Amino acid sequence: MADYVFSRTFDVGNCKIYDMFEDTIAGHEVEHFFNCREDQKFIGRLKFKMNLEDTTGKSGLSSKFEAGTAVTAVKNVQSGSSTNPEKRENLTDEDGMGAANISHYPLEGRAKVKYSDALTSTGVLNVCPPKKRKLQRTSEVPEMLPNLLSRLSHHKEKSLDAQISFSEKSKLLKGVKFEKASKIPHKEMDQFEQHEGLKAGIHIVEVTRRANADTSKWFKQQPWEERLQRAQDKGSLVLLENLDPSYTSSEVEGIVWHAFKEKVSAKMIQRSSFSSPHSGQAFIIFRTKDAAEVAISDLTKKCLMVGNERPVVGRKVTLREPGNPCKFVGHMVIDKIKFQKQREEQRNAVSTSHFSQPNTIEYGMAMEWLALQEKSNQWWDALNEQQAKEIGDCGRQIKNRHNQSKNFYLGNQCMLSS
Amino acid sequence: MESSAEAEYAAFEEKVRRTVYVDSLSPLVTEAVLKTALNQFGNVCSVQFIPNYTDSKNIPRAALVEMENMKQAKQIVEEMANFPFMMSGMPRPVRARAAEVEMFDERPRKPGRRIQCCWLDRTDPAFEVAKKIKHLVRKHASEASFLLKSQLAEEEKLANQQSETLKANYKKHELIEGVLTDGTANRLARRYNINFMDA
Repeated sequence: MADYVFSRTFDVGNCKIYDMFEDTIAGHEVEHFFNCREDQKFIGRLKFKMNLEDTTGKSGLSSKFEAGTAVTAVKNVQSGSSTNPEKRENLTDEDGMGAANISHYPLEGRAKVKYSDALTSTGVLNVCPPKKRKLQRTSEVPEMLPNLLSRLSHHKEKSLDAQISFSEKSKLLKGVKFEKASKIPHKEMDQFEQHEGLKAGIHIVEVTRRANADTSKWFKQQPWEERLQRAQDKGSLVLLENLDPSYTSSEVEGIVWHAFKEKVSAKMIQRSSFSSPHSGQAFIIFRTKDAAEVAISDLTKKCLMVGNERPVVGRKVTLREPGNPCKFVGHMVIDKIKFQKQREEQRNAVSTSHFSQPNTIEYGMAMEWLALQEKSNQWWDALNEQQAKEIGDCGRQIKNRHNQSKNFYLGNQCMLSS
Repeated sequence: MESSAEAEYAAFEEKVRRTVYVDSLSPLVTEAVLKTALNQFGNVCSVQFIPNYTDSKNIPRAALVEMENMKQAKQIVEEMANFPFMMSGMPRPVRARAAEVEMFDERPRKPGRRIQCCWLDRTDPAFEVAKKIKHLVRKHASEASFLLKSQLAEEEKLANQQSETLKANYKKHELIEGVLTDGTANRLARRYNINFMDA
């Protein structure tokens, strides 16, 4: 259970308080910051290296700073090596993530408090409680701090001694960071190989509910439209096709989890009169652009079979621009009715929803529309029927091939046994 | 656990049967308009518009309207199929159909369903067929989008044609009105010795 409840965030960059919780803070999923559970650490670590690169690449260090790093390269090594034993312990010990790190915190914590004292005008204090909690919980803090600190430096306070101690801190932190980056890959490789092994064989995986699927409901999600738009801007949006149309969004999330080992949010596209009854579509929001691209290329090169003989197709998708009202044909207005002297109530009349009466022009025209609707129904039915036939043909073929391959394997076994 | 999931799904299916799918809606139709319109047939419980993220933006809107009971839903579908029903404009009528499970955004998972997935390798005999199916999926999608495009074109054609008809009608009315008001009709009547009131 949660020990604390957080309802607002404070953006240090924009100096604004938000009611909404972002999914990620500086590239990290929020759930890593709070109420960490045993089973989440595993995933946290997998993502770790990527995050490191992310933040180091983007962290808004001022140029003054970058210049400083070269001079202190030696120092980095020193500080890195001094923390080495602790780090190693940290990495080998599955559960003791917090323990080893805590030794750093008094130092960093103090530093931060000092800054926040100095910079109360930027409102840093507001951020402190969650950050502090985070310190005790995750190992990802060190590279968060320079980020935070460097952002602070942008704000104000050019006081010299502050800057000196500040840069020294970050040097120290950088050392830690380098050390970590070099350590992680081994672990990652192991994981990676495991996944590869899984993919290469023709293992049929039963899709179960995704691990810790419920954590996504910890925080109020942003409206789906916004997340969709953001994902498109980021390039992490993928459209999956040829799913069973009756799958639910959470089942699709499960499929993606089992196929790509990626935690995503998925949404089945609701069927309308124009969607295919054979191929269900779903939007998938991956966490990163890379993950989305890997998934698409995997789906193109290999075949992911889901359920009864359905190879899944994945592609990038462009959303239609929001906001533009759509053009709708078929409703007409007569703008200047002057040939009839209108009575008061006639002028005030609003067009209400109604069945048209058979003695009007409206009725005659409506009949033309009904005829068109009927035609449209027929041509869609024809298309769907034809497509169903084509799919059926292929389905039979694939079943035959499956039997072939089964016989093939069985034959091999017979030969081996004889 | 299992039985509660089944109960949930059964409740959902019942809701589907009570729901009407309405499309060919003008962008002016709001939830309130839909509610008032369909309250004539019974009690509207909820209205949900189906968002359209990908398709060409000229597709008319569609909505799911949940009614109080199955009978009301059925009645709406039947009557709207036989009589043109106008909503926020004319003469294009709206279209109603029975709702389907897949039209709903939030739906519970089907209890007891097991989904399996696997990666096919290039060496697998089924791989080629799977590739073929993938092509088929693409082909079908483009066929559908082509059909949709021609349907939209067809609709536009009808709309233009009707608007021409309406303009012609309007012009005719205007002409008659003009002739009557500026006294031309009277003068002509005198000229030809016809009693104007008889004509």
